[in-house]
Amino acid sequence: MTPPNWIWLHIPLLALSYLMLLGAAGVSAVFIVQERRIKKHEALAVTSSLPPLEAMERFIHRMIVFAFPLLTLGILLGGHWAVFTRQRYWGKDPTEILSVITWLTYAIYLALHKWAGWRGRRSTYLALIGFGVVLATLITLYYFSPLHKIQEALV
Amino acid sequence: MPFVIGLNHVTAPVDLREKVAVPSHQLTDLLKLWKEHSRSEELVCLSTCNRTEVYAQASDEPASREALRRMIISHGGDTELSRHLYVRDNGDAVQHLFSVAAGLDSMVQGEHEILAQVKQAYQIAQAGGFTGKLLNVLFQRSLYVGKRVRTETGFGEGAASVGSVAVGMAERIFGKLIDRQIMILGAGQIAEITAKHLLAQKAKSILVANRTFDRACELAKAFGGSALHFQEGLKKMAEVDIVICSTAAPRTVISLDHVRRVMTARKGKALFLIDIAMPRDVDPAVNNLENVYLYNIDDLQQIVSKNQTKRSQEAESAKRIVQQETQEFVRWLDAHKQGTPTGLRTHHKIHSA
Repeated sequence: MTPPNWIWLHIPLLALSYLMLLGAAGVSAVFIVQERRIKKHEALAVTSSLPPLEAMERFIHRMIVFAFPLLTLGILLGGHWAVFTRQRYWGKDPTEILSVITWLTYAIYLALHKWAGWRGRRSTYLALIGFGVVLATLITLYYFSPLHKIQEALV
Repeated sequence: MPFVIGLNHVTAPVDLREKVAVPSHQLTDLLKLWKEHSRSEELVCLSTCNRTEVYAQASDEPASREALRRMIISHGGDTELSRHLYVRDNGDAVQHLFSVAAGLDSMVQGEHEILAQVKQAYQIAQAGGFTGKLLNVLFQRSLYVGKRVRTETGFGEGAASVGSVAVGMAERIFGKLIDRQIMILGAGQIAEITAKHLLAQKAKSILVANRTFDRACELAKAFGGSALHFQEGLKKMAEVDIVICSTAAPRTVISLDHVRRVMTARKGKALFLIDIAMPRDVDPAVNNLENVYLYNIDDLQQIVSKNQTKRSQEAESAKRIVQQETQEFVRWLDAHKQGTPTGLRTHHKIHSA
């Protein structure tokens, strides 16, 4: 069986969502620095011209809200693809495992934001951790995933 | 050669400065009168709450200066004024104007409003036809010097009062304060000043809660806000973003548990607490809560004094620029006087030490 020809959407969907998550993570890093300055009553907090905390937080949240459905869809398509190449939806491939961890991290971020009133520092750390997992996923994708064979494809 | 005659916040007390101050809508008429009677060729009058100065250029300088002195005194209507007026000539007058434009001569060192005021004074004089070649070049140059000081040095950066630091921090947390609710607990004087600073940023509305309800009403009326009983105020904390505490209570009135409950009710939205009461109103441990930012008077004061130190360091760089520009201008003036006009050079950036 050959996979349907729209299965390649797996790649751009995930690439786009990772790009947005990168944006969220970058702003999260700035947020964490500035939040600490304000908490510790540092003069630098007022003189530096970083954006307001709430604006940064809104940006991070919005990025994740947009990235999450793409991430979900991209991962599902990946599973679908594996059905054709491996005759299974999900296995012990490191990339597959890490993808699910990524998804869970951002799902937790969104859930806590919505239902537990998680704002500010803690939730920003989650956004940063989430992107850490994304990076790990990309590394395994390149080096360890028997499924993706990126190295062979690039040669 | 230009000269300046006037008084400022150093030489004259406020009641005398008030008498001489010229509202901008009267400037043109007054300049007309002064120009005729003093036989000056060019005139600009700079009048703010901290200074009233007349810059002039006249061929018969001593006579024109004397006439202007008399007219300023009669305008103020107080002979006492004559002891408070200063006169500066030539290079000194140039340096004086440049220092003023740079904010070096201001009561609040490095404030920026003065540059706009110099510009306005010049524009009014120019529009009325009271300026000529010399003062045109001098004033345009002073605006350039003021801008140069602002862009090349950190002079004037950083908030310089407790109120403005509080506003600065609030803006670092919330951004524009336009839709923000403020509450004042207690009714101390610094609380009032801080609230004024916040309202100047167009914060949405203000609640005042006090143990004596009458005083709360009084303050609320002054700010166009609404008054609350003290306990009500504590309850309402969930709905406001900025709380200024300044009660006369002998011990803390806002406990860690209270703020914890408030934060749950706020669904985690950031809360900015400014505690300027002595002794303190808010349990200091509150600052450890997630998304709660607690500042007491010492925290604010420390930032103020840090900014002030920075300002005085930057003042040195500002003075160097004024010095350099004055020399350059005097060189131009001399050449101009001898009939060998040259251009004014634009300087390269001085690197501050």
